[in-house]
Amino acid sequence: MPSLSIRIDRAAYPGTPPVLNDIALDIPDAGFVAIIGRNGSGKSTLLSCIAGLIPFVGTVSLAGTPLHTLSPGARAARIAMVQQSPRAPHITVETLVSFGRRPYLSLANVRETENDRRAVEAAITAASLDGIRRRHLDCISGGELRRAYLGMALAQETPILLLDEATANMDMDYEASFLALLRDLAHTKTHGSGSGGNGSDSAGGKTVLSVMHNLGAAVRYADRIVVVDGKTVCFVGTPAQFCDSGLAQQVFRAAPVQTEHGIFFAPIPENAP
Amino acid sequence: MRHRDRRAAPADRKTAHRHTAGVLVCSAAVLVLLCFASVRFGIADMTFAACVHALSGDAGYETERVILLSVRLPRMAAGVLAGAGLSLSGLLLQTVTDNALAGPNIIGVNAGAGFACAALLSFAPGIAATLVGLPFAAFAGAFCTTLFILLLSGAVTKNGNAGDSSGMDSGRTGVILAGVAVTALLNAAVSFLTLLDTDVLSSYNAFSVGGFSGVRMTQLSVPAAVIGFCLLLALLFAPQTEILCIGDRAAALLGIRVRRLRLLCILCASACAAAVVSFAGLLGFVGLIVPHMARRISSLHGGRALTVLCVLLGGCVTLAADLAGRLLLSPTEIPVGIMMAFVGVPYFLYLLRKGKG
Repeated sequence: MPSLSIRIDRAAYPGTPPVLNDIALDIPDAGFVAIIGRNGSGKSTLLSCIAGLIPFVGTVSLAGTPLHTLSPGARAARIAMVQQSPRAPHITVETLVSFGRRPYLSLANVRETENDRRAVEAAITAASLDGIRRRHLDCISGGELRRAYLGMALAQETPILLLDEATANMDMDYEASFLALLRDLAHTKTHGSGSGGNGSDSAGGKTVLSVMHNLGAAVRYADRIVVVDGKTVCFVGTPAQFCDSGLAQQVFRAAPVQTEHGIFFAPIPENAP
Repeated sequence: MRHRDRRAAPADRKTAHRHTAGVLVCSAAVLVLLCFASVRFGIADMTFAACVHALSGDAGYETERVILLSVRLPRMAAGVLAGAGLSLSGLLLQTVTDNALAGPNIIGVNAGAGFACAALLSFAPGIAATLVGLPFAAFAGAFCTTLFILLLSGAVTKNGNAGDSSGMDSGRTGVILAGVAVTALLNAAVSFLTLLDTDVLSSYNAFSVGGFSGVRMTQLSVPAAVIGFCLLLALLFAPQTEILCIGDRAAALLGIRVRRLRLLCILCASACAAAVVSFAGLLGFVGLIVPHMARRISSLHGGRALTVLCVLLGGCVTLAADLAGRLLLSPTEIPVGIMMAFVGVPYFLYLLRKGKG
């Protein structure tokens, strides 16, 4: 599995000051990485840069290959992304998942291959979409919609999976099962991931990068924590290192609390020292 | 669950494919029947047997042969071509702008063609009187207006005046806004020209109503080639355009070059509609209603099957409207543009009431 190298000197939206500066981040192969930071710190912009959705000064490389040198189709065969606010057009969940095979289809493609059908079925099973595969996107819940888009991203069979606040507005139960699924994807050897969708097995799971707001969930489920603050990456490490670093207090004004069920974060009152 | 499923999805893929195939075959059959009816019925009464004899060159059917070759067959071909071209144009525009109320009008096809014809009638009536004068002006006016609207919408997008922060989804809004502005300007210019010269007004009115009366086969060869080429492109790119329904950014993440695809589709839509305007005048509502009919009948949301269905149904609707216009008040003929408006306006209001777009 290749590693992801992110070097961003400057990223800005047209006519606005830079959102990100001097980012140097190396993501090892396979694993669940949680990207956390305050609102407006540039977490989503960082994901958009990796996905190639916005222009920036710098280079994002996968296994030594700069992604900007790849065609859009080749890039889509390496990086999949579930967006913050996915749309819900009047198409079925199964149709949406089948869209994930687009990077592997030719322009004149008339019929889907057996490999495409297998990938779609595997994605539907992995994202637990069997029960709603015939339902239309505009008739399912927000949580199910995110799962449907995750299914589409899985059908892309990419080694890298990006998620932008994928658990926003989910209830606790649904969030827990969704994050457990992401952790499994990052740790379980999957058919096709990392192979560009050609159906061969990979040595490990996917590299999952997820923007998260729930610090407790990030610490419980992620293998590594990346903190974005002050327009740059200010911390990279394990959840335990993050809890010991004092950044939770400094950046988020929250204190880690160890309980029998794991670590939770309690807000520090405004007037506290 | 947010709300109840409006239409249940087909039980499985095989059933869905069978349903789609059935709808396509039925539509093709109806189109063939309408083609026969369009040739058979008209002001001059003619039986099917007489039509066959006339086309076979049998003696005693010279009058019927002249009527068929110079009036009925060109009219039938014009009806099929106009319906197919406008429906394809409407489908492409509704897909790439993600607006259920989009049609060739929003990219300035009618306004551009109308202005070019009014200008030709005002400033060069001699050229306008020739066989190719008005058709060429209509095509050029419609196509150039679309290009201008695209340039304008690009400027709107770059300035970030519409759409999301990335400027990606703003392309579709920019086209609509620029189209509305340019259409208003050109309509005002047409009103000004017709106000200055009443002769222009009467000639322009005949063009603006739209119809197939007096169409000749030679007029149809270039539009047929343009529409055929655009149909091939639309079929080739249909699997990509159907993905645009999930949003530009999501489509880009699947490797689709969204801006390039949208530009190609809009140019195809413009060329198709402009080709139709060149021989049929300004026909309204076909491009708007037929894609909706096709989606409702087939439960398809996009793709090649929907494109083919749209083309077939477009031919059916236009031929049926033309036939009804010829027969309802026979021997007086109601232009197909007026018949389409009678059908199209209620459907348009129905769409508004259902909150589409």
